[in-house]
Amino acid sequence: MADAEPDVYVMEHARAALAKDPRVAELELDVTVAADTVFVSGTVGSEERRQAVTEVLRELLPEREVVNQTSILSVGSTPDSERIE
Amino acid sequence: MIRVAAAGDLHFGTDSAGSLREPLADLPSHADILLLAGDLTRRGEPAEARVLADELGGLEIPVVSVLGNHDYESDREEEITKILTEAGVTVLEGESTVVDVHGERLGVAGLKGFGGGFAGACASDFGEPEMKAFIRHTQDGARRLSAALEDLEGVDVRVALLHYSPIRETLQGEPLEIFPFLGSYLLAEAVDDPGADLVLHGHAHRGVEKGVTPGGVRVRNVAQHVIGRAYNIYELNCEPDC
Repeated sequence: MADAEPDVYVMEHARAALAKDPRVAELELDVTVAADTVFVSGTVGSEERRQAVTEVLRELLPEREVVNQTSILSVGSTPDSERIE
Repeated sequence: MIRVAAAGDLHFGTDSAGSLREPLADLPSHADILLLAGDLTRRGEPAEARVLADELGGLEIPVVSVLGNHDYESDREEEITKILTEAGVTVLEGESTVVDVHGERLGVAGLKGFGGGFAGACASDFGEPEMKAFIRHTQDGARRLSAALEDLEGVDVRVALLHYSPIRETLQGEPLEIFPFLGSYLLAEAVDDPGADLVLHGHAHRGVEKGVTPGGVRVRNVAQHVIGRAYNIYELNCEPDC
């Protein structure tokens, strides 16, 4: 048996936790693992959810550094219009 | 002309109160109807749906919606539907509705849809029961979508409202490996046979807005992540005289 869990498994466990944890519930975040660091990117709906991304990953992977590169989804108020011919 | 406002993937949480207030304030001056392409909530919790219902309640134009996969996460989709319905939202699942817009008839056929993939690389109704159940769910939905569109025969404008994508074109930007979980060509086939003026969907946050079915029906991915706005407006001509 290997001493350390392969990074690819760590990455998928992290993605699964971010999807399933009610504090985040995001399925489309990108997670990469390099050495002792976990990088996560993508968009979330609020600052609260962005902070929760870090919390969830730190709880899951306490031995790894978490670099949270997610951003908060910003939608404009003025709609685009298109005529469908 | 009928002006359709559309958005998908709102992902409302209990922390989302007020987030649509400003964009919705002007909506009746921009659009005749609001269509929502599913993933209304983050986890399908009734409390999340209530926040959205409060936001939509009192809107002066009709609101029609389908649910998305997030709205099923807590196995409380029936409660979600009830809460939204009580707020005046028409929630469709394999059904259609007709809305009168300035004397013209807009028909909307709605379905969550499901996955399976696209021509040349799609799942088959073959093998293990779980695999058959997966593809049969999509097949069943496609049949109901086609029937719902057929029920709209004679209306002035027909729109198909989905959560999952009917074409691969609007998924460009998503990882190729997950295309089978983002939509199915069966949904496009279900639209092309009876015909429609427009298909709206969400689900693919990293996709692109515009595409067309093999039969020539315009498709728009209205996930907020894609359109970058609270909603977009699509103006549909109802020939020859509106």
